[in-house]
Amino acid sequence: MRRPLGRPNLWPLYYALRDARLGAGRNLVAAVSAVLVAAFAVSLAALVFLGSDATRSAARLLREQAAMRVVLTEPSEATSPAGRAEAVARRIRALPGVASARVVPPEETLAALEEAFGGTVDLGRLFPENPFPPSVAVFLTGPDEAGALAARIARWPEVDEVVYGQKYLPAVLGLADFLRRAGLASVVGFALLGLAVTVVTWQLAVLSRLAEVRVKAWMGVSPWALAGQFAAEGALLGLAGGALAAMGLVLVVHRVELALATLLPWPLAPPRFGPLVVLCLASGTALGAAGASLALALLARREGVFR
Amino acid sequence: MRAELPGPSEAPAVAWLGVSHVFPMSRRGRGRAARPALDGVDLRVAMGEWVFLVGPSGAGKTTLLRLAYGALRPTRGEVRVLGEPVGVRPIHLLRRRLGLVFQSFELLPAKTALENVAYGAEVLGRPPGEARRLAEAMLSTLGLEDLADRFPNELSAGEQQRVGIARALIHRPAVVLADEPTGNLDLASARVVFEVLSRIHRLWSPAVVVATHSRELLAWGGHRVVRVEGGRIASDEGARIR
Repeated sequence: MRRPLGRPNLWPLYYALRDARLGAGRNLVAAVSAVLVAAFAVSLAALVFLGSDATRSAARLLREQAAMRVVLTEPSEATSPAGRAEAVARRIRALPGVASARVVPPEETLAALEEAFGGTVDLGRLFPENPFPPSVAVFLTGPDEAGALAARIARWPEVDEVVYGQKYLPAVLGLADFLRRAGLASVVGFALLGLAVTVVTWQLAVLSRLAEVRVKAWMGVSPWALAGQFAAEGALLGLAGGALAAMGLVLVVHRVELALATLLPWPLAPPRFGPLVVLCLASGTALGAAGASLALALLARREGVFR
Repeated sequence: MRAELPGPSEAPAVAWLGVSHVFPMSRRGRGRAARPALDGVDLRVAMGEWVFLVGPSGAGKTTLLRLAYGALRPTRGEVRVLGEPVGVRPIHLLRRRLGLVFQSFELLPAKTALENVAYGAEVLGRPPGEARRLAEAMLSTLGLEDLADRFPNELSAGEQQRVGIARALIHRPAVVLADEPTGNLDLASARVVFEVLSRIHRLWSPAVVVATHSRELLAWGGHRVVRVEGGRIASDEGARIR
């Protein structure tokens, strides 16, 4: 009956994995539900994480912005728009803290806007007469003086508006702060919601295999071994759900990144796919394992499996 | 295969020593005086002995068995199985030395009778080939080899219970505890199930404790009959040890 020392009996592990595979196969609806629930819960939590991360990155980028666009007013009949723009650019170049200034003709602005729409709209046909005034692209030696310079240039009579990233910084910082605070609560909320739904889903799976659970309990399988078997099953299905969520999110984030890259005039920091994937896989696995073992514990108690 | 037995032959297989048990009251029932399910029961079952526990519903038969396989802890007194106090070691280790038979068969519907019986050995960690050989031997021993390839839904209730017994006892336990094993069966099927249990008893002489309502089966086999009423032993006929 006894095995020699040093040779662990791995057959229970083999049977547990076999029963897990067979159980998941026979209860395909419950297994697929467990995967989808994990994927959904993980996606929601990861989206909050991504939103928080993206606003923090945006705030950092805006703070570091050393570029601005000076939009000019409509010129009077007498003056040449191009000549007036060049004169403004010269005045800007003379200011301290300015590295360079370049006149952006209206055609270039229209072309950039067309590119932002992904080439789906022919703005040249929509606006036969280009409505955009000339503007001046200004590059600063550093971001620190951007606010003061923008305020100074905005007071010039030829200038309609000065657009620069730091202008939006307070709003983005506010959003980042909100997401950071709300994010934690959301993640906890989604985790609890995901766990509750996972437990309910797993209860259906365990319920359909109650005979197997009872036989094992009667034959002397320890509660921990049984919980371990279902936790392993839950972990595997949760991992699949996490992988599904990770694939979906990477795809979505990549598409959003492409869209933003054409819309925004400054380069974006590449999204952190590594932590995102690890977060999805780890939380999916943990959610599945916790949900399945909790479902078993609740059902075993309710059905008196070990009594 | 047989579970290890304690050394001294005089040690009973199962002993309830001054055992009382009171179920805790539910929230709604708090304030009412709790009636003990068992009240100072002294009962010893010798190695290899067959004992019927009889009595009306609620008399305490099932509670006695549940105390023996560790599902309940006595409020007072001690239960010993194979010389060892119940509850000292983890319950699942105790159960590996017992054969538990219940009214419900709990056969796995997707497995054949042979696979169901082999499952009992697999659960205890036997390799697949050995588990299958043990199952074939067990079915053959109990005259159930013709049922080997049938699925549970192709078996009658009596056949299902016999397969369930084969699975529960595949590890040849030294003690068999059966709680109303024929509760779902007609008399003819119940007799067949008892024949299976008797064959097992003849083969390796486990101590068998059967809680039953079936009066017709009591006379059959000439075994010891312990009558439980109101949580006490009302009578004990044919005991080998007291």
